[in-house]
Amino acid sequence: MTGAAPIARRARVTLLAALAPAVALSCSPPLPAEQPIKGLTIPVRDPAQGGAPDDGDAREDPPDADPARPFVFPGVTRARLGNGGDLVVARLTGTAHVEVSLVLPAAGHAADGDRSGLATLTAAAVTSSGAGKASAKEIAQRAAALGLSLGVATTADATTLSFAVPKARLGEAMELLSSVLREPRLDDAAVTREKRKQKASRAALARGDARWATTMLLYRELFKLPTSVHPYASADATAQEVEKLTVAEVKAFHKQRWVPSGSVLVMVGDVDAADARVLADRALASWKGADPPAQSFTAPVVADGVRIVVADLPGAPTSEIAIGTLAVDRSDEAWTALAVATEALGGASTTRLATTLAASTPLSHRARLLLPEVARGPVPWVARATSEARGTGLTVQALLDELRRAAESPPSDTDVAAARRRLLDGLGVRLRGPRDIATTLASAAELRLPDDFADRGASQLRATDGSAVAKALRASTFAGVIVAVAGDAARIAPLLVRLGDVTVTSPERGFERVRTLPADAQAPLEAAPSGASPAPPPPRPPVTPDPTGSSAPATSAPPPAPAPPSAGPPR
Amino acid sequence: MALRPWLLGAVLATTSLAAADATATTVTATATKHAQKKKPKPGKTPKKHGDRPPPVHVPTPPAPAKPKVEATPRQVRALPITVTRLLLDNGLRVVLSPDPRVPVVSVVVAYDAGSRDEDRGATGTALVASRLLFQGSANVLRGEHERLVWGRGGEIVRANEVDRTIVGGIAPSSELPLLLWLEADRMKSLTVTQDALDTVKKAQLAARAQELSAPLTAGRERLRELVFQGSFALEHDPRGAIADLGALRLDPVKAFCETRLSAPNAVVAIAGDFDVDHATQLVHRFFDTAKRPERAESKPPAPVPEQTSQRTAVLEDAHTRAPSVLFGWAIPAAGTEDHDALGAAVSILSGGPASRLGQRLLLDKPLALAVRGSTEGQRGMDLLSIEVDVESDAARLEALRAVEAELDALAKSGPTDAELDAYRARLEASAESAMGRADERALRLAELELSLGDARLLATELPRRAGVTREKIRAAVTRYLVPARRTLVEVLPPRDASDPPKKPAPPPSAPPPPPPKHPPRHKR
Repeated sequence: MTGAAPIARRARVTLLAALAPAVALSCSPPLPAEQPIKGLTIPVRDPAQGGAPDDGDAREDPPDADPARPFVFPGVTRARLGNGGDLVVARLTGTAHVEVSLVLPAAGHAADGDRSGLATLTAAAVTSSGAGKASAKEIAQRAAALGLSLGVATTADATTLSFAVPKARLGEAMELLSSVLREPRLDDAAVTREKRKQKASRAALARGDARWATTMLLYRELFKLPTSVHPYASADATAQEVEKLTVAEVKAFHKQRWVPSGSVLVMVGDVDAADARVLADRALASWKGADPPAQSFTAPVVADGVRIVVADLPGAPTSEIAIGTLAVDRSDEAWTALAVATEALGGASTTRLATTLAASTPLSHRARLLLPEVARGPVPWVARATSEARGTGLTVQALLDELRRAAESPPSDTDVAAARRRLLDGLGVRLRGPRDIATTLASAAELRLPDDFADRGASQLRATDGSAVAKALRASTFAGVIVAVAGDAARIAPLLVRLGDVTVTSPERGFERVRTLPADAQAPLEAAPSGASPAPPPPRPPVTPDPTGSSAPATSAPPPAPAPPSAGPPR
Repeated sequence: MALRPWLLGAVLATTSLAAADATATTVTATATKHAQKKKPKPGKTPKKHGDRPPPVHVPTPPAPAKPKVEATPRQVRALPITVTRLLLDNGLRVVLSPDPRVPVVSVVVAYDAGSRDEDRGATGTALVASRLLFQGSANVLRGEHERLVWGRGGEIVRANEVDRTIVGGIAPSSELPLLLWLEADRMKSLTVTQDALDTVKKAQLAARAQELSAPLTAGRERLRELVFQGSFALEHDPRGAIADLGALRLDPVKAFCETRLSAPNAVVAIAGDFDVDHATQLVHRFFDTAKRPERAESKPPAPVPEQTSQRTAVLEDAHTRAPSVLFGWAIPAAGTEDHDALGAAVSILSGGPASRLGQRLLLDKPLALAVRGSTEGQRGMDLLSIEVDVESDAARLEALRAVEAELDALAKSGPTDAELDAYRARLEASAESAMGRADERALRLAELELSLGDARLLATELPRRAGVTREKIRAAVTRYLVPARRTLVEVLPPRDASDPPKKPAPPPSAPPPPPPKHPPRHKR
């Protein structure tokens, strides 16, 4: 696949997955496998729920587990490179390729300031504009010859470059990486090209990506400050914001923030730590730069009450809903308990949030709880669901009820044990490849976690019981919440006013406010089923090359007949 | 886990898929003297726990011929893979491939059942059937399957394709008994009730409505229709039409499940950290009692009529913001020499910024926003597609000409040595990454056993695909990727992209109309 990804920012793998590597890192005794949780088997049969109808109570229990072999995280070695950056090596024997990630914590999009999109655009331009005497095409060819694809991703807290390369060619790959880091061309043509691509991708997202739209609104509202812009307030740039960025700004951002200070180079594979250090020092010795400017992170506060914002996606048949608040800091001890609570209440389609919602609001789907991680300050705690448009109000109401109920009625000890077991026993599943391990180590670097993060996390996880979860939930009440909904505003906004004022925004106009609907306690939460869809408009004439090479439009198949109402998508 | 599987021989432009051992020396097959004398015994009394027959030998096919490789500058590194195969009395095929590096195990079941087995007016049946696999069986209540796998640290694997249905899971290696028990229970005693069907239909209608709101969905569906025009089995979308999904009735769906989601139609693949003897014992314990239904043969789809002139269509897509041009060709089945060559061709054309179209459309003269290319890995006929997103209407024609010019050049001269080397390096990297993951290895083994009859072909797949030569690529492009066999779909945003879409998809819960008796045929 060539070209820009629809959105260049990487979803961070939750570090829950990295909590228990302590089992190996700390030389602590292997974690004993917890016993199978009998509570997971529903004891009473309801024929409507499935299962054979005539076998009475003779249901067979699931088999017991075999003896467990604990997952062992590979040993990690940390070293300081000559240029001031860090090197982290995890050795995995028997692999032919080495996974490499370079984390640049100073170049995350939290450093954009009021130039949203600058970090992402810089990352794309640096990696695609050529370096030194080599053109973009020559760099691409060199990478291809090494069998690597240089990936780049920007989150709020870092920009990360990553690739996998055959062990024998690690040195060449490091030289290539060094060249790209140190001397990107960043010429007008290349930056403009990347800018056009990013603008187009944001425009496409604004037109129809409901999840992107809710994330944009949620972060904007959660991290809103009275007089300044919080570094996390912009989850991504809009097309309008990308348009304002200049080549000079890209060059300045690269110079200031693509620096070795604070950087972490992660290598995972069959590579000796000492050899890796020699290679890295040799390749990156000439990569230098002043320390990046410090950033201010003012503590955000979500005001009490419910604030409802809608991203208008005209014609959308379903609504995407994200309800969020701010919880504890990632470094807070209560974070682990909240993570277990999140998993126990809303980690899967079979946990409480999803099953309760499915039962109470049949028009809703895929309800989940999430605890995204950020490096500084409180982390967002988010409930997500989708709903058919006409059930949007009901689904939001049900989600709010469930979130408020979480503090009063925390998950049972059985559910907590299941969640804890999943987080610990499932480590091998989540970290089953070298790439997963490299990603976890890179995420730890992004979040500025201490070297014993895994050990500490595993200990905390083992110690988290029902009472700790209940306490964390009580402390993280949804007193002040943001409700972000993306959907057809004409249909869904009237279904939300019963819950409060509704601000409608336009994603295609940079989330500009379009109108505000006042609260109406008598308004309905659900609409009646609607009827048929209108006929599609006629298509434009095609521009099709003919075999002779003439530019005149060639014969084309006539457009298919309009589909009958409700028969499917317009074609 | 939403797994986009390692499709059979499928190629995505950035990640070509293969993995193997260059030599067959590490490949093993379980064989006993009882093997070929065993005959299936439908309805056989279940055996006691641990009382199992010896493994049945699957006749070993002749060793795959060494590809006739021209002198190539790059040697493809072998990956050590051990494969053991079993055939149970009820016709169930089992493939085991241990790899103790990470303490996880994956069990994947591939059923020979897909959208190509659906009838007109009943599209979406295979998808719905695959979701019914999670709606309960004799010993597993609705939702309990996912709950058990989740609660023991695992993840669900599932995928639906034109010619196969994939389900399974990956979990800590201690949970092998659970994963096998769950798969066996639903294979033996799937519960298909009206209530379960209604639940699945509702969820699928909602999911389908969302898919149809995504850019290019309609364009890709139209491309498939036109490429496979004349073969209903292949031309309709595997996810089904909304009207058909809403109208699905219980009895036909139940019949589909009983005949197609059955032991003789399935391959169980186990990969990861396990002991082969112990796993074999568990397989017999849980699967020996699965019945062999009377009718389980999957009919081959009708052949696709040979295309003799270009087919085109133009769509206005309210959900897209920039024009896209989609090219499609019907190509030979995955696993064939021509498919290997065309897989290499599409990678050389569109795999990364150093690819021919990447350089020409993204770097030299930036006309495009993105270029993608892929094959799907279908049996019978496969689909090769190239997609180019352009910034404006004006760039469309230039992009079209660029694709034509690069295809012509590849047909005339074939790839360069550097391009072949880079292609092989990409193959190797993706193979090692995928084969190190238990779920991907299990999936690939199951697909190979199901599609080509021998999972051990995994051992030779990488050297076979890496051994493709310049001449073979040139010849395959010349033969198959010609204008007369091409389908071209242009997808345009609404005339004024700032206008809101005017055609909302029908609400998922709206009652669908009855299916038409004679669906309109697509015109050339």
